[in-house]
Amino acid sequence: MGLFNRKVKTKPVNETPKTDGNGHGTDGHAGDAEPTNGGNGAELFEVKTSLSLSERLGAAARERAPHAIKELIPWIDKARSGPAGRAEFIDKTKESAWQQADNTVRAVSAGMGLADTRAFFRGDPPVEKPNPRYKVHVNAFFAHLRPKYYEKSSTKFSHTFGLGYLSFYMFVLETITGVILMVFYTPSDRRAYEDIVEIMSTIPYGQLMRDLHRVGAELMVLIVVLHMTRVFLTGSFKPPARGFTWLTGIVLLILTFALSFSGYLLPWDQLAYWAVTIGTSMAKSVPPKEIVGYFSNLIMRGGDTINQNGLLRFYLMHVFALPAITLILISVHYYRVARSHGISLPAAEEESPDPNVRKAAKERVDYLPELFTRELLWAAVVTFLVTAYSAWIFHAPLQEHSNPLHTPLHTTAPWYFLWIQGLLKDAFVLPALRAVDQSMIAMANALGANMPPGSTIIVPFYDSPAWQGVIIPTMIIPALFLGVPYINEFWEKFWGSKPSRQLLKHRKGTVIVAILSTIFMLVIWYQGTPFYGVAAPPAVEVGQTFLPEEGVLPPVPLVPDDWGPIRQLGYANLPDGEYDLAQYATPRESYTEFERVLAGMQQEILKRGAIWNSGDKTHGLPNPRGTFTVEQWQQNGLKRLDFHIQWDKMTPSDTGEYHRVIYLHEDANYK
Amino acid sequence: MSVQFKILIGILFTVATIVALVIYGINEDNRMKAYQTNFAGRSIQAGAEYYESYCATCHGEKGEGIVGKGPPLNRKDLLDLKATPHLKAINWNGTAADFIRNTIAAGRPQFSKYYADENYPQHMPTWSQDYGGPLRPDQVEALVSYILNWAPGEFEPLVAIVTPTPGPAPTPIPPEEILKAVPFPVPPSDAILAEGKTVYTKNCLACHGANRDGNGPGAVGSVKPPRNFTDCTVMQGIDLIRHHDSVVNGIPANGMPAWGKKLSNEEVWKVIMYEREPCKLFTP
Repeated sequence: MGLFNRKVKTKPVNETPKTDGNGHGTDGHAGDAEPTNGGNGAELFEVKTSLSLSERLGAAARERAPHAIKELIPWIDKARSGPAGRAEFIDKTKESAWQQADNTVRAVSAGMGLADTRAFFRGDPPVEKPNPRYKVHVNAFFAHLRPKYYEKSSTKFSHTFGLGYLSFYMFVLETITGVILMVFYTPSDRRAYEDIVEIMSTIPYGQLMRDLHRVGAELMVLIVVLHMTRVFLTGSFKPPARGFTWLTGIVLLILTFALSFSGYLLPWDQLAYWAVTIGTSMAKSVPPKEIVGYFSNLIMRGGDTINQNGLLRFYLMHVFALPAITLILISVHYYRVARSHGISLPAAEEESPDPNVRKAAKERVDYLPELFTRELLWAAVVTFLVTAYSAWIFHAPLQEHSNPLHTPLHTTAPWYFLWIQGLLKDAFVLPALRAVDQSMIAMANALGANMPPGSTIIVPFYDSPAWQGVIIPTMIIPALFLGVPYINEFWEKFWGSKPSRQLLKHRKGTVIVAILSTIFMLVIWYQGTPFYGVAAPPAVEVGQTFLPEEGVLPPVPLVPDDWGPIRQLGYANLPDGEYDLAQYATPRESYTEFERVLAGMQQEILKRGAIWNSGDKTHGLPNPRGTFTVEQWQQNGLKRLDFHIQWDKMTPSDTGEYHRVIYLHEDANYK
Repeated sequence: MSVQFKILIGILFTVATIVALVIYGINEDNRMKAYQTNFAGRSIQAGAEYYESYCATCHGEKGEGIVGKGPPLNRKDLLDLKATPHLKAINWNGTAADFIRNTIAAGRPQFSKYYADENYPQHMPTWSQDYGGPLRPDQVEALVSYILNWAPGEFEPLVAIVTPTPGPAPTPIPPEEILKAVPFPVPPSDAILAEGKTVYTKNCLACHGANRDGNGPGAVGSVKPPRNFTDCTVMQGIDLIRHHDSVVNGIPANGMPAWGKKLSNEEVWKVIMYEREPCKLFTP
């Protein structure tokens, strides 16, 4: 179309160049008029020669000049005519430059002109009408996903804490850092660990990328859980509008767990291997375990234990399948929020009897530029915090290479699955069933039956790993989460109570349920940690306190590994010698750091003796005593540390001693 | 918060992130080097643990070697990259680390020519999973770094290293000559028995034990349990000729090395007398 216009315009210009000249007269540039003004022949001749050289060339150039320059020529002429013409020329130039810039900005911003962009960044109201910022929402892809405006009270920080936005931020952070890490990683049981070591030791910013990925992953789980808690507490899950959104949120929570968990295996160190072995072992117990349990374990691990097949499966889940599904679910979840019902208002304002309050709560806040800049600000702040935290405070752990033949003592599932591990330790149901069994047997015996005291009635029907690790957790998820919106709705209808979202005013039952379930979750989470009900022999426990085995996850996220006090002392602070711990029974002020640790060992040993004397034969040791030996093992900076605990034999087969031996190299840094 | 203020703070934090990345980047070279040393140290530690469980039974708990089971590993010619005559002898073009890695991984299907004189009748087994052994590649790697961490010649090896000199095969001594060959009066004096003990301690104790009961540290895993010299009913069935033959020519099928080349005739007889002392079977 533009090309066509140009042709139409140029034709008349070619035929009569003077038609577009408005102020020609004084300058005497009009070539065609010149010959008619001529006097005698000589003059005519001279003029003609001068014309033929410059004027005629000029005229020819003008005739053949491109359209844009032809259009400029009269304006240049005008500029040469005098100050007034020059001013006009400058104005024209400014105007057209502005026009050009404005058009460009309009194209880039998908709707906003230059003046509006300026107003946008200054926080001024829009200049044009209709509001060009709304045009952006129509024309630009990413802006079209966002609502044009929010209701004012729903954007309050104290209402949402920005948790949904932060979850998505973490997803993006994970994607970016994850893709960078993928470049350097091979999902092979022979290469994986080596590749992580390479990332940490030879690739600039490799460690930072890994730390960011780890921090982002832990925060993502944390934030998603907090986000759901917030939605639960503010009653923002309520049907009819938000019930489905809540359900997609549940799926996203599970996907977040799955994403994080599948990534745990990839470093292929002891931590990774055993955390995932424990996590997947739950699948083995899905009833009926001969069929479903067997096959779900086989499909997940690619074999009886995790090996190359399992690693590849977890890798593909982690980098492809789960992110793809998560992205789809995020889209569904967000589209609902953005288009269907918006972010909920604070219940107290929405249900306020005062119409002014209700009206004020629904006041519009435009996304552009108010909330857009707020989101960018958040992104900048969080990026800085996460970067600084990963760079200087927290480093993703990497322990020794995975060893399928050696289960580390006190190995656990990741922190967000500890509650399932706690359920597996079964502090409630099995003891209760045993008690029921005992009383039933007692009753039967009283009625004349002759049952031996150790026999069981109900307990055999209760397969503990299946129930505790699979059935109860999968029942908790629908009951606590999936069912929340609909059970709640049913509950309100059943009692005929007025549907309300105000927590403390109308949802006292919810408060009680929330508190009780939080306490319950914390209790079973605690039971999942190694601090609860672990049956390792007491001497092993003492050894573990001071020289822990590699492969133990901390029970809370984002804290550094615990290497025990001796490794942290370091090679240089461990003088050679055999130390009889009995001599360190009374701590003295003058002790060096090393001697203080020895005193700590002696106290721990004495504590086990006191426990024995108090009658606890499982956690105590009779007459325990210990020695700690530091021996220079290789001249090139390798020491052998032997923590030797002895006690009086408890049974004839008891060895009465325990060695915890580690080697410590000069260069190994555990600080 | 006004839009401009938000933009300002946002820019400040963005700049702060960039500054943080730059500061982090300045130290990145040092950090990577530190991580490499740290990891090398940990690898040696891991190697020490694997060595203790897999290698110490034959090569000694500190790599000093066990006579008749495994050669010492902390020897100069193995670890010193500048002095590796045995690598040159077999036309090995790789590094000492490569050689050690290969030996651990694939074992020694043939006896080393270099150690031909040193009486190690047991083959080095294959250790890597690649060759049917129990160790993963990273474990082999850790063992290599642990072995290379020995200072060359850090410990006095139990066995003196003799450069092989090819010579004529020893001619077997006829049985009737053997008794004539005993270079001292029988039954031996206490002094001779003491000298026999010295030879025994140096060469035989590893397998036959300090109490001469066949229960030395090297006995673990040998083909047949070493002879128990305190068991007199069995010892009565073994005359001097057979005893001498076992010491000089060895019993390869049972893992008993041949000592004829290493010990002199006198030493052989002294150690035989010392071994026969518990049952007082000095005469044929």
